[in-house]
Amino acid sequence: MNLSVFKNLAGPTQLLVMVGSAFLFFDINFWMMKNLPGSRDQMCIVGGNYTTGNLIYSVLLSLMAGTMIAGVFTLFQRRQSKLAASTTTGAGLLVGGLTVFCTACTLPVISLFGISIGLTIFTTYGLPFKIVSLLIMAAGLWIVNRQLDDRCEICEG
Amino acid sequence: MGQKNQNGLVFAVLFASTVIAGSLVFLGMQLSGGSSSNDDLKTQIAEGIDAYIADNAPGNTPPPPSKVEGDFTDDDPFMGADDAPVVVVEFSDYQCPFCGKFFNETLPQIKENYIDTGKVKLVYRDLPLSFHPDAYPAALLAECVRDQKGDEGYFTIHDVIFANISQSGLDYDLVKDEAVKIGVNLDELNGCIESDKFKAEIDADQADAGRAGISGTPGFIINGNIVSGAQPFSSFEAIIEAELAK
Repeated sequence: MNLSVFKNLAGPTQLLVMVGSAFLFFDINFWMMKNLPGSRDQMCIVGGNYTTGNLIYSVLLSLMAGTMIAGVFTLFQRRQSKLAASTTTGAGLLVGGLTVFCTACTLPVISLFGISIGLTIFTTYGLPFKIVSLLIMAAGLWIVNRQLDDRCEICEG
Repeated sequence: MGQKNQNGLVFAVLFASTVIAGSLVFLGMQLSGGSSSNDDLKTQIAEGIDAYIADNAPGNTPPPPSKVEGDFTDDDPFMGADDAPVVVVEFSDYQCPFCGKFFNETLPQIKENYIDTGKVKLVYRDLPLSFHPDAYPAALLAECVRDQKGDEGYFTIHDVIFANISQSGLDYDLVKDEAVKIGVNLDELNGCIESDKFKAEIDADQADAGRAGISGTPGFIINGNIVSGAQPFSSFEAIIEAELAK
């Protein structure tokens, strides 16, 4: 795929951030699957959500989350240099640093990311929620991709 | 700029290597079932080796055992003839909705066709799961009733509990009232509950379930054949008939 969000992974820093983040998310998902109560085959069981399908879903979600975080990391690095040049107070630097890009785009990305992860945690891996979760994460990736391309109509001007 | 990029790379390397190393340890612990137990180190190592061998058996992902050797009846309450040719050991959690499904839909058919005709002896054993807060108290209450009124009293209260328990809890006063109706001494019952008299018994049931490889409820052992979950009557019928034909 020729998208900026994937081309961004060509750099060793971004690739390492992506891999590390993906591992972290996968570990969290794995722990939830293995240790939280669930059901399987007409049975109540601890770790009932530890299934092949959920493992595949967790891998996908983790890779997408890692890719998004790597993209956000790149944007943060770009913004850091701009912030260092333009702000004079520590408070300004801190507040500005919390928004990797403009608020109009940051909030949707954070919200989409949170909703996607939340759907996993709070819905015990129901299939419709898994699909929605992946779609929401894809939407977040799309926003980050546009930011990497410097193609945000909201933030320009 | 070059310095910033180098700092970023150092951070990324440290972050990724720490997370990946931690992940591998974590995943290894999870896959080998590294939760705490009272087993000593030798037993844990032996179990780990067995699990590794099973995992790496050619052309195989390890299924749960379908047959198990040994006697899993212990001295637990049972219904049916003591010398019935087929023994069904049920490991159950009173608050598990699937156990409730078995109780409501399948058990009556098994009782009518096999238990009441002397073909099956059903032994009820406790496997209260940690995420069902009323499962253990309900199991304890039933055992305390059995202490006074035997298996018949036990299964009367067993039926009352299943009929009245839900995910939101159990009306213990109602169950105790029913217990009193069948002649249970309330003070003795409360004393038994408060002293947790049958904790060891319930713990033993849980240990035997673990020994059989049963970790979910309901789980059944039918003459050594493991059946998992609230399967339809036809599944039990097939196994029972096969055992009766032997």
